[in-house]
Amino acid sequence: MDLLNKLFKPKKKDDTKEMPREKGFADLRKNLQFFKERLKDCDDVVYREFSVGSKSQYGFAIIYVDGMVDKFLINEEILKSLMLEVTRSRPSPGLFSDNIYSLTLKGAVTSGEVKEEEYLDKAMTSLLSGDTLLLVDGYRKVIVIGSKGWTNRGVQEPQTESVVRGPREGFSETLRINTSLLRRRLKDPNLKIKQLQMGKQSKTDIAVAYMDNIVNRGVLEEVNRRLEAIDIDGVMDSGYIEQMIEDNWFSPFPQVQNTERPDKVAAALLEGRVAIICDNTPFVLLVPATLNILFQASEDYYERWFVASAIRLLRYVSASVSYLFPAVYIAITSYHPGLIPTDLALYIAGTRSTVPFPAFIEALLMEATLELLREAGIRLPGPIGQTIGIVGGLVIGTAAVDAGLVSPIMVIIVSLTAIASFTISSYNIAIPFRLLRFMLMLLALILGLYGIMIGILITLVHLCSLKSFGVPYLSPLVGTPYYELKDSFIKAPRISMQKRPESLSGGNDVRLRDKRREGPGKGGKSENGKKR
Amino acid sequence: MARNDEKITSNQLVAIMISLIIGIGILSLPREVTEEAGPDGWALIIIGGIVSTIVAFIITRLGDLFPGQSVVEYSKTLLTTPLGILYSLGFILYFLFFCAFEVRVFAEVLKQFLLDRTPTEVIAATFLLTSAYMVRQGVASMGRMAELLVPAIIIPYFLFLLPAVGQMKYDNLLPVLRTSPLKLLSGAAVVTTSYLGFELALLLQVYMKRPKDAGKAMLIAMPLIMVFYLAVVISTVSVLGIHEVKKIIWPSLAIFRLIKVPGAFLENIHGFIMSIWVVSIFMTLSGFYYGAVLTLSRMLKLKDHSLLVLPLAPVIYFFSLVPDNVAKVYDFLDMFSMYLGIPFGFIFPVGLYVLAKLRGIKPKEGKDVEKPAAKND
Amino acid sequence: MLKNLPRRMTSLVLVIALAAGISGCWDKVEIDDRAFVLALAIDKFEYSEEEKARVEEQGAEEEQQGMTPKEYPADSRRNRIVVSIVYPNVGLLGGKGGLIPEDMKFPMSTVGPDIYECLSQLAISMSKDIFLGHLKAVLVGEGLAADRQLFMEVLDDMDRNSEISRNVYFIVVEGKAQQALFIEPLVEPIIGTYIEKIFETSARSSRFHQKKLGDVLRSLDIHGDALAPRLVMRERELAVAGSCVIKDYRHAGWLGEIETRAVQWIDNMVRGGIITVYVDDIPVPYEITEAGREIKIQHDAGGNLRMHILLKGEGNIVGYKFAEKQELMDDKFIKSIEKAIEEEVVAECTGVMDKLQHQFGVDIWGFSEYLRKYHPEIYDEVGKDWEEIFPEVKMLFSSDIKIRRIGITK
Repeated sequence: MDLLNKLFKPKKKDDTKEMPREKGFADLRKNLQFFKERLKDCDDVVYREFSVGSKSQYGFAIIYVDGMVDKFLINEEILKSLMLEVTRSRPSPGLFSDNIYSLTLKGAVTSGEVKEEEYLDKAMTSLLSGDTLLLVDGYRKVIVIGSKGWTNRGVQEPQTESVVRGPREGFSETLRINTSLLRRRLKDPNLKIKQLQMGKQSKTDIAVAYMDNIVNRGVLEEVNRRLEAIDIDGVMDSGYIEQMIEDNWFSPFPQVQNTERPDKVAAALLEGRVAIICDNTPFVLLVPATLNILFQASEDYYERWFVASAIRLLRYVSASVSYLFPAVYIAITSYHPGLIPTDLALYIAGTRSTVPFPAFIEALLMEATLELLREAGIRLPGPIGQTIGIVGGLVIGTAAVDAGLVSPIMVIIVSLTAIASFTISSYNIAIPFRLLRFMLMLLALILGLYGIMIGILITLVHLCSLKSFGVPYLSPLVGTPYYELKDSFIKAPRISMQKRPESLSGGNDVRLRDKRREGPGKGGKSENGKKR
Repeated sequence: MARNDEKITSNQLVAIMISLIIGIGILSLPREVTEEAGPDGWALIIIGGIVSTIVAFIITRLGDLFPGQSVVEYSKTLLTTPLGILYSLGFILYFLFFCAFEVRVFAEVLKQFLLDRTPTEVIAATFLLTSAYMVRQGVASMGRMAELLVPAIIIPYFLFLLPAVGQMKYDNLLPVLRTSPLKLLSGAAVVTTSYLGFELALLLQVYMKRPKDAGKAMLIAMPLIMVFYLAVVISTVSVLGIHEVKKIIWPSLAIFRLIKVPGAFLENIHGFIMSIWVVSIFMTLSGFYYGAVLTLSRMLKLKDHSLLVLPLAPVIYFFSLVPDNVAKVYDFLDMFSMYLGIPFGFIFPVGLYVLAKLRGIKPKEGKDVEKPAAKND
Repeated sequence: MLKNLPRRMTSLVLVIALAAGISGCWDKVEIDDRAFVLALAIDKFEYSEEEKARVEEQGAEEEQQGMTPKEYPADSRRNRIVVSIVYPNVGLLGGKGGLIPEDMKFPMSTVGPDIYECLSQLAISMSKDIFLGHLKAVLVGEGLAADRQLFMEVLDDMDRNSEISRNVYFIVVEGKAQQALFIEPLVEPIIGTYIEKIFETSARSSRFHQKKLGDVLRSLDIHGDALAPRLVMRERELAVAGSCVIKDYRHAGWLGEIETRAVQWIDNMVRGGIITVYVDDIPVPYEITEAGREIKIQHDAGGNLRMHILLKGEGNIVGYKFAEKQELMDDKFIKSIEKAIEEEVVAECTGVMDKLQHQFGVDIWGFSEYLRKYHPEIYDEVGKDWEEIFPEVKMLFSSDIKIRRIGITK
């Protein structure tokens, strides 16, 4: 805690932020000069000077970055309207010359998103994010016309979180599209999307989204504080932000959730959590994240509760299998063969009688092979990756058993741990179990079953002390009212989950009412009230 | 921000108490009660349980009189400063001895059943260090840990006990109540020591979100422990019979060596019972360890207790290795319960309460009282 | 300073763990390096004169050949018991070729003062670590069981051990237990599992005592008397049949299979079995499906204790005689058979009770415990001198047998 505090103490203001701001010049030429100087050797920047007015007496210029703008918009809404349509209309001349600037701003440019900017370097940032700058001779202010229009991937099915049932839309790399996906799901003024920029060089747009009436204020403030404390040159992915804002970076457990699914984010917002959307990446961060949340898949909520509960239990079981199995194998074969049935013990002893390694080395070898195969499979393109997995697994497994280097039981155990770790819903929560497995194996080697218990206890103590934005990592398993357990190891029937999790939301508890069962008296009353 | 800033809920206090009190004693408890009262051992558990519940409740009432203060502070008020300091020092010593016994008996049992060639030192040191890690995390983490582990201790215990139901011969508990009442009472005095641990509430009450709920929490925790003890004693005696229970050093473990799970994957479940038991001892050790650390840090008025955790570990380690053999361990344990356990657990807290009442101290409805805890602090 | 502590703690723990990992693993024995002893046989060390001569001759011969003679002088203080173990050749179970010996099992034997010293003597000639955690059967030779001192030592050795399961079968062997381990049975080559399977599959016959080591130890612990199953050796098979009466930590005699069933009936342990009665000289096998007993204790007019034991049973008739005129499907006839069975049961029980009361003078059933639990006031009177009182107690048996089914023909 004290550690965190120190890190998030407000730091001395950085010099870069104190950079003197250049105000615009009255002379168009000087203004252009400024941009040209600053954007020297930036050949993707296009300058277009033109004159407006019946006698072409007013000098104008637009600047934009090629490829980032919607050229149609520039041609139709800016150039065409200024150069042609303004000439045709004839307002009173006196007014005209005085107020050319405000007229342009208010009357001439037909684009929707227009604002004015006093400082040139701020305008520069807008320019580089895809806006078009309109400079008017004789005026200090720069008109910034929103013209972002680059090609993007569009809304596609998320790659990492596919579902059998549920929406197939996924976030894409453009912040605006992502926020629109959210807004479409929550058409409520309480959905706030606050934007800020991050990265001294990259100037990446970040949006913090939350439901104003549900969000936990403490968490929101903490998020803002931590985001403001970030001082970094560039943000390439939300992963940068995740690593900068997480509570404990010594922990193998992720304390921030990431997702590609807008439905998941919308549901999280409705629970009172905060989403951090980052431009240029489809991965949206959700905080706070608890172990339980990371174990959930969005599909759990779309399926009926019976199936969903069974699958959740399965997931927890498979997490423990992936965490424990090899270590238990080592402990039992090397320390406590008395714990398993005689026939099995004799069989394992028999199959191991030709194996030249101790059980630990055997397990380590196979687990390492497994991790290698997995890594190879991920890095290679789709079909080849899968082939590597199958071929590698089959060939190496069979060959090792045939050669008598590994016992068949070991191969079964390694395959089981692999399959188990794949059933865990999100990739990042499967990782700590994969890594801690090796720690547990080492402890099992030294102290057998007792070592495993020590390992489990250390892991649990760590989990108990871990927090994500002030929310205990293990909630709602501990420290919360018991109704929150309805959405943990199991998922209770939807109708019975009437309250928002207290550990996440800040008040506004009730999320659904069972009007069918509330009876005609109560239900009817409210209905009547509404009708009137 | 000190780790102790976070508060615990009353559920967590219940869980801490249960996991704290159920410790090494549970292994030899059936033997002790049977030695005292034969087949009426269960009656001792009930008498001891009731007495302990009352004392535990008095402790929380004492805490209510001094909101925002732990025993370290108000013992100075009640007993004058030098005596108060002496009391706190005695308290620390008591906690440290308790830890030492936990570690030692733990190591002995583990060596006997799982790791007979591993040095006691290694078992003791690894266990103590793991516990130190827990204690460093502070009271809120410990509360969460307890809340998580109490079901993890109790549910599997009863699950593993299920196959033994067929082997339980309840006539082993007969004849009922033929022990003389006097003997029952004197036996209960011995048995109450297995309820020791509730006096940690003297310190923990301060760290509750609503300290006034401590009394209620104790009234839930102590009877639950009593029920668990009853279940252990009754199942052990009914499976083994009083003769064998008297003979076996750790009868509660022995019954699991008799049980064969039909058609199960396991041949001997006692290995798994040992694992559950490791967890339960872990919480007991951590609780007392935390008690010692906390008392010391409050005496020194430290904001963060974690500095003191590691320096105390060697002390406990040293104490734990003093007895030469298992017989000596239990000799020491008996002496310890009599001369430190009973006074610090029962006599002194009640004495303090009586003293406070005689002085007519009323709880101050000051700013410390009932400060509504901020949500998600 | 402070904020580095968690990291330092972790690194400290890691260093300790690594150091322990390199130097430690004190208890680690790979599963394939363990010899899974499935049966343990213990005998009293004794020579007949001829045997002694033979051994001495052999020793002399060995000495001539330059080997250390393997001799066990009978008068040494160290040579007291013979411990034999047998462990299976696990390599045959799953190994693939390689250097695997062909034998199915390896029986070994040695002489020493106590079980553990014997085991450590055996260990020095074995390539594996002796592991008793999967022990299935402990066989005790008749000779050892008859020696009170040795028998008590052996019992304590096993009682104190945390590795030996209480679910091990404890069997007294007629003859030398050692020989049983060297028999090569046809059906199940490995002795320990063979015995275990016999117990598991044939317990319903009630023809041997079904108690395990834990039960025997408990029973001996209470009053020094117990009943243990008996092992009979044949050419290439073993049989668990009848039981051995242990009185005051000493083998006192044997009970046959029928007697054992009667004992178990009185002890409320019968779960099945066949009783054959003769009705008009035709043997009628009666299959017991349920059995129970009730005990009543009271003082008779003379102030002596009297126990009424009611033996209850339910079951089926599974055979009669083909083409017999008298049909079984006749309530009156069935009642008459019931009566015959009842008489048989009472006769069996009276017989075995008489034997145990008067011949052995052993309260196998622990009636004293029964009295302590259910009739504490009587126990207070007689508990102390139960051994003398027990033979004087008047035992009255009655029986209530029900025939429920007669098979699928009339």
